[in-house]
Amino acid sequence: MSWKNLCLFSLLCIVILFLGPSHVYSKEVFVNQSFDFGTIKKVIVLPFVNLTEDRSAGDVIRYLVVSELQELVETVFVGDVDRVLKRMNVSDVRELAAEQIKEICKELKADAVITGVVYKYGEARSGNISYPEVVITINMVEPEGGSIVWSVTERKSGGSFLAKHFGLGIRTLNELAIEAVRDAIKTLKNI
Amino acid sequence: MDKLKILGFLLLFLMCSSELFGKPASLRFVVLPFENFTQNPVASEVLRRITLQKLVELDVDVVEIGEVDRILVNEDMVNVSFIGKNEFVRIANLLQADYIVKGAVLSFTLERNWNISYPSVTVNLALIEGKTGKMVSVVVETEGGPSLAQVYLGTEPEPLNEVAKGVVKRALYKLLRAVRR
Repeated sequence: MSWKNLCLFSLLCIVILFLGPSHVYSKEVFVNQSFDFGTIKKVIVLPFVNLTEDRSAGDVIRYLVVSELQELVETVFVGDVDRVLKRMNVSDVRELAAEQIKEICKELKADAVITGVVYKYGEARSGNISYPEVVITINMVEPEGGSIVWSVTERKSGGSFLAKHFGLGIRTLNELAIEAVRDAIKTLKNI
Repeated sequence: MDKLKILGFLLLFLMCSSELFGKPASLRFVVLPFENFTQNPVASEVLRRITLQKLVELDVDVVEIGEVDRILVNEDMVNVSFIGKNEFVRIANLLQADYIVKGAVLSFTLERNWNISYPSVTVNLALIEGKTGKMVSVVVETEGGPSLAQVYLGTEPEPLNEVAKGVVKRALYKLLRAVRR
């Protein structure tokens, strides 16, 4: 390899290294194309199912979703939703039947329900080092048929190459969580 | 004549200055107790007081915390998680407030990753119109992560409270834009 080619190759490596993604991510999206999303003016964000060790992960992601949805649709106050759930004796949203979803929507005058699962919200380990990771799923359920019309799964990880090897672009857990929710809701905006 | 013109301009400037500099003149705010989703038991109280302080610094009329808490106890609304639209209107009415600030602390901690400790503060603030109970605006603001000096020179991280002040200031700036509009 000539000196010139070697220089070009090194330059290319540096560019790839520094312009590469600052974090690792993946996404899965489902949209029911036959559903008319234009009819949705007001939504209820139910408590998120929390499958992590962090007790508040579900609440944190739920609040981020409410905040991110505000530009798109009107959301019912979390306090109003929780009070209705309490009155209906629903302690675990996983037990909610289609009929109950319909009833909640009717009572709170909402057109759809947002549900979700937090799979990962915390530290992941790779060898000696740990880095933040967030994995969430957000669904939209239409109350009439009780079917899922939109679903997105986002995974964000702070374990980038630059962070691992140079300590650059280290993100906090909530920065990743905000980005995960923002990207997830963006798929709804793009419908 | 020139003096009159200058005086006229000055008067016009003063009349518009509130609009220009975005001071939400003569509006009364209530800051409700914050919800706490952190491991730190005092995080909600710290962030609530910082929010109140920052609002006062913005020259906004804010109802004193003791008075707000007294009303919440009297009205049996101690658990802020269950406060909804009708309750917001009632609180605003009782305290004669124009807007209610409702908050949640999503993180207030020193995270430790990559063998470095760094602050992480995330706050969610919602602005609710007192008359209607409608949510005017809601923001999530966060700050954290280590600086380059911390990574390479091993300097101390910024204190949590200082980070929190910056986060609340930015969140309030975004929130109050909705009032100025």
